[in-house]
Amino acid sequence: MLAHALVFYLFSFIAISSSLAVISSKNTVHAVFFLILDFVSISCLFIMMGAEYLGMLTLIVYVGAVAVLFLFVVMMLNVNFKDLRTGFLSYLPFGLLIGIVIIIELGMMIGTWKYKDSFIKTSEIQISSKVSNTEALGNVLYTDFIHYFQISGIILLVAMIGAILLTFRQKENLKRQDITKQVSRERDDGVLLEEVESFKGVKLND
Amino acid sequence: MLFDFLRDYATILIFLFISIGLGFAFIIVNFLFSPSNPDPEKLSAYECGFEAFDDARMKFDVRFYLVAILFIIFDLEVAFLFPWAVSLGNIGLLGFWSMMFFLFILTVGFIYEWKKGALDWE
Repeated sequence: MLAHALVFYLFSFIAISSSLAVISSKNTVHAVFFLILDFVSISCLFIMMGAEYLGMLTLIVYVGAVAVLFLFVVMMLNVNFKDLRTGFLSYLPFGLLIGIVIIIELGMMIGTWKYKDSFIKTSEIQISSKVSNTEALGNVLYTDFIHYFQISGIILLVAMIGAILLTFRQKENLKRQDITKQVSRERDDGVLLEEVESFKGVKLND
Repeated sequence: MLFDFLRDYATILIFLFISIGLGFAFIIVNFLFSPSNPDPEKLSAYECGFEAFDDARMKFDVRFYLVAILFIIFDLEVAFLFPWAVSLGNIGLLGFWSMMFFLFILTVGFIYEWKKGALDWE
């Protein structure tokens, strides 16, 4: 019990301090590494709370894939911090205004927030000690929540097509190997036999 | 119940602590015992005797990003497969065909990207 609490607070401390390091580190690549540490410690927290599947999913999706995307973005953006700092003073009043508005909105939201008793009907959630986390999820996800499941599939399809449409450019003058074209090529397509009379030559129209 | 479940993870925790300790030990021992003669020339980039011409960070081809995005999508698809495989015995025919339809939708996308040539490099 005590050990559980200690390890839990240790991981929480790592999560919070590494997320602070993300926003304060000057080197963007270091910031991404701290973000990865943050994701890992959050997945440890999920596992410690009993949400085993969610923790593993965080490891697979966030650490395995999203962090790589962040690294690509950091590499691709080619951020030059000297240029970024030049307009600091001219943007300061406007930035302060937006920051204050956001702080007021957050304060209003947190100040008036109240946990609605009927928000999650705990009687409907049945937690059995015999069923593992992943199995409990699988028992309802594909049958009771089939609607959301299929919508998620369509969202993935839209993301796939959108990514291809946005980033994929077929380069011009590119020689690709088309096997059907190669195999169906016949002798007449490549070879021209011409009967040449002597002293007249031959005229080829090409 | 939660603590019984976490008992399985205790070995991983021990492993984690040992590996973190080992990593720090290597750094600290290096720091204590290695000879140290700092020199700015040692840190400068060496480019065949010249000063470095420009920043080592350069623009990537956007297709790396495309490959990573497509990887994430199929990663999520596999993540949906895990609970399905665990509880396939309980969810009956509807659960089975629900997943088959999900896979069909993503296979449509897969055929699209294959035919479009997004998976070819050059």
